[in-house]
Amino acid sequence: MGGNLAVMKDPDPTLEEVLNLAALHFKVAREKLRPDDDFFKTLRIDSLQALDLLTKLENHFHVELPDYELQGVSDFRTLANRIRARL
Amino acid sequence: MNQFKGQALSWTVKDGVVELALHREPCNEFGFVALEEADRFVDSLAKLALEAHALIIFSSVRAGFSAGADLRELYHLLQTSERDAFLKSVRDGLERAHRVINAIDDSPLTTIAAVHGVVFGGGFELALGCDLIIADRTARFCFPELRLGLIPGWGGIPRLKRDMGNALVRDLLLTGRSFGATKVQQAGLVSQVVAEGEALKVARATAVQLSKFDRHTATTAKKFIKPIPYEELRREIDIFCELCSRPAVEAGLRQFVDCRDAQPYLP
Repeated sequence: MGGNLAVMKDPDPTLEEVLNLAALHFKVAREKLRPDDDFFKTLRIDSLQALDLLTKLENHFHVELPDYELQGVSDFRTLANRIRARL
Repeated sequence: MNQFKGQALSWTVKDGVVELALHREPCNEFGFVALEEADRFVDSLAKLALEAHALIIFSSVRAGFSAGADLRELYHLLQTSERDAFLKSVRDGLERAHRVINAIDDSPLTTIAAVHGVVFGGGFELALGCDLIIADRTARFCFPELRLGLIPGWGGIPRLKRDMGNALVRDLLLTGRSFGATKVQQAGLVSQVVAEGEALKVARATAVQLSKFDRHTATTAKKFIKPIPYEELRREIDIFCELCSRPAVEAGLRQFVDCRDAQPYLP
């Protein structure tokens, strides 16, 4: 007996959907996206394209995401948290 | 002139439909040249209307319908002009924009804005001058003027008040946030929401439907349904010009122009 048990973090389905959508929309390999990445840098997008992503997320999750809530948000994990708060 | 190809916009008439295409990269910002060409368009509109039943305004630029006034040009004007000359230029620009949008609003043609992507500020105001807005799912509507210490100056407030509930007008203006196409349809402004890239096609199909009706009847009905709030529009110009003389405007414009980070279009 003994050995370390790896603590498995519950997968975050909202975060997974956000990463998948971003990969699909901006035609980037899903494996290249990590939850704490700065999506402006990783996806190489500007604010107009970020609004595009916002629209896709709103339509996918059927929520309304005021864009001022995204001020200062630049990573996928925080973005997923904002979405989850409106589900 | 039945057709025209300019630097910022072009128009043609085909099968009784006038099509006005906006094509100034990156997002149809309206500066001096675009406004001048739009002025030329409305000068031709009365004659074009004799052989047409509908007008479709759309953008062939990927980023969207229009991001509104050219803020970089406006900031440059502010930096390089004496105060009184700057304010006079601002008023002249506003009056020109109002002349264009009022002419579209008052046109005997049934007018359709086929929009996608960014529909901000003056771009939103241009769409509001049309009888119908057909938006694809990428469209986002916004009045960001408060971020610049201003209010919408191209007729946005009087037309929003005419067409939409006041609570939503307050939400749009006071938060400066953008609304997606579905929300704007729920608010009653957008007539149809369509798949990405399909707005112009659906607008053309709608124009075919419009062609079935007697023009005089359609024009009479439109005038009866849709009053143009001329007095409020003039008051809007005065308020805009008063606000424009304040330091907050220069600070807001400078922030927009100098912004190098990824978020100038987020509030």
